[in-house]
Amino acid sequence: MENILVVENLSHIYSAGTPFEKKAVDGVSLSVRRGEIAALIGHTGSGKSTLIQHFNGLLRPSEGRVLINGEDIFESKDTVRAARFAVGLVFQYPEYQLFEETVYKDIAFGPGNMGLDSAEIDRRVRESAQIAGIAEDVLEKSPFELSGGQKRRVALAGIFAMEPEVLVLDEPMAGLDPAGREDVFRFIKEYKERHGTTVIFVTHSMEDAARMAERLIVMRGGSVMLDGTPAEVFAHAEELIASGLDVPQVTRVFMRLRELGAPVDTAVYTVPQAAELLLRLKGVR
Amino acid sequence: MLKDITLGQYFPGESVMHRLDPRTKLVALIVYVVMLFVAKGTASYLLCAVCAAVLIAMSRVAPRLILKSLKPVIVIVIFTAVLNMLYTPGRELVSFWIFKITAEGVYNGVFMAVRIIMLVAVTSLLTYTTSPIALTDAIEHLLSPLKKLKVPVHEFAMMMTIALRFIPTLIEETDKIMSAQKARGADFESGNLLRRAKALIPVLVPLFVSAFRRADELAVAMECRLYHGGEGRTRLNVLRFSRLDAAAAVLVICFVAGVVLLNRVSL
Repeated sequence: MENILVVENLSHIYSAGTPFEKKAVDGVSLSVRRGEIAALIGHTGSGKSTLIQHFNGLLRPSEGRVLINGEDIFESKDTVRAARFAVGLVFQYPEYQLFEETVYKDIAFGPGNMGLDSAEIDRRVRESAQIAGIAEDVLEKSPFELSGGQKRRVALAGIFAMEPEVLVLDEPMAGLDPAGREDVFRFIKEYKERHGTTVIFVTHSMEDAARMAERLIVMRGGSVMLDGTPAEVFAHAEELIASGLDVPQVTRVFMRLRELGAPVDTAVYTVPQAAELLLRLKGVR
Repeated sequence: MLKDITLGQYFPGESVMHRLDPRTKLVALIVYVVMLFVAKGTASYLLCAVCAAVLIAMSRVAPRLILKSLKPVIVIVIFTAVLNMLYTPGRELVSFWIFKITAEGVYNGVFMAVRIIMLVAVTSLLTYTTSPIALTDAIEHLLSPLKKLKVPVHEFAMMMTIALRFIPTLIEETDKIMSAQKARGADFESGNLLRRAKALIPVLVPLFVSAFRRADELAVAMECRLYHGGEGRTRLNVLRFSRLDAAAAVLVICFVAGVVLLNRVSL
């Protein structure tokens, strides 16, 4: 598979030249393949949010390059603008960015800025509203009347409607109840399946990352600490715990089992996997 | 972009200037500003400039930051200097069209420019070395005699503290919302004035909504902690004058005396 997004040796320094100078991202290199779904994990302050704001050109790197489909996005004003539409970025708590009179108009804001005609905008608004589980009658309401969970859906639909090639989400499930988390999870999956979009999402939760992503990128102190499939990453469970990150609960159970002398691998991160492994161990299968 | 605002920004540190009582610093600043306008002649100005330089050196704030704080007033400085040059009557140096530049004008212009520059530099030195909270505390203390006249000094100080406290928060929030709308293709940089003003709606609406939400939350939080105004309120960090402040007071008096004396000398 070809690489859609490539980050080359990227560093970002905040407030350069003042006493508050801080290197938030330090020499990160990444390539993301088309259609991949990757999770970006790390502590608060590990540079995740800073890193993803380079993907659509919101932040300019102090060093390094960002390539989309092989082209440097910082080449000119136009390429930066093109990157805004190629990479859809959903910020943390995106419901705070809603501003229009109606939900419909708010979802249409992004596509409208892309200069699409009204028929196409209408199609996109309705389709993304449907994916994000927004009922027809809600479209004419004010976004400020909605509940927190509903606002989140509207904000997601606003980015979906731009039909980006890469969807980047900063903690899309933060602050939602379990049912809400499950919903958001489902919307993203469904959107990805329908459009073949590449998805990168930031999360604190190893469980969410393990369940949803096929690739995990672990960041620490502004650099990439581990990068690989969930099995590869969780094989380093001890390292993750030592650096203060969590691992899925099942992985913890298996680490304990191994400590007790059971011949098991710790690269287990979902419950079905664990069940399978245990049954095999008992000789049932 | 918004992060570049330095006016009124505090840089924590451990220098003598940082450790002085904020009341001392505030009063000293007022005295300094008054003396800047009292000063006449090269000698007194030189004393003011030397004082400013020593204070800056003692604060250990990077001189580059002081220069940065001067940037917004450059236009005013040049404007005042030029006006003074052209409109002071006296011995004519050069004249063209309806303008004439006099020797006294050049002299006045230069002094005016120096005066404004020192004023801004030393004032920003105060905000660089004093946290906003300490500063409002100092103001409340210094104005507390007005309480006898039923002026709600504490309430004003609290409002100022809260306003100052929320400036960085609101700036950060504005940055965040702007980024979020930029990610949706909003364009704040091109088009005529009307278009640019319109482009701010997607930023201002969420900003106001969140400001009201924050104000509400803060009010609830304050009430939960039984805030009831200034009466009977005690402080965690009580302001205390130290020997350092006494030394500073002596220096300020010396400075005032120096300026007054030098004024006579050059006359």
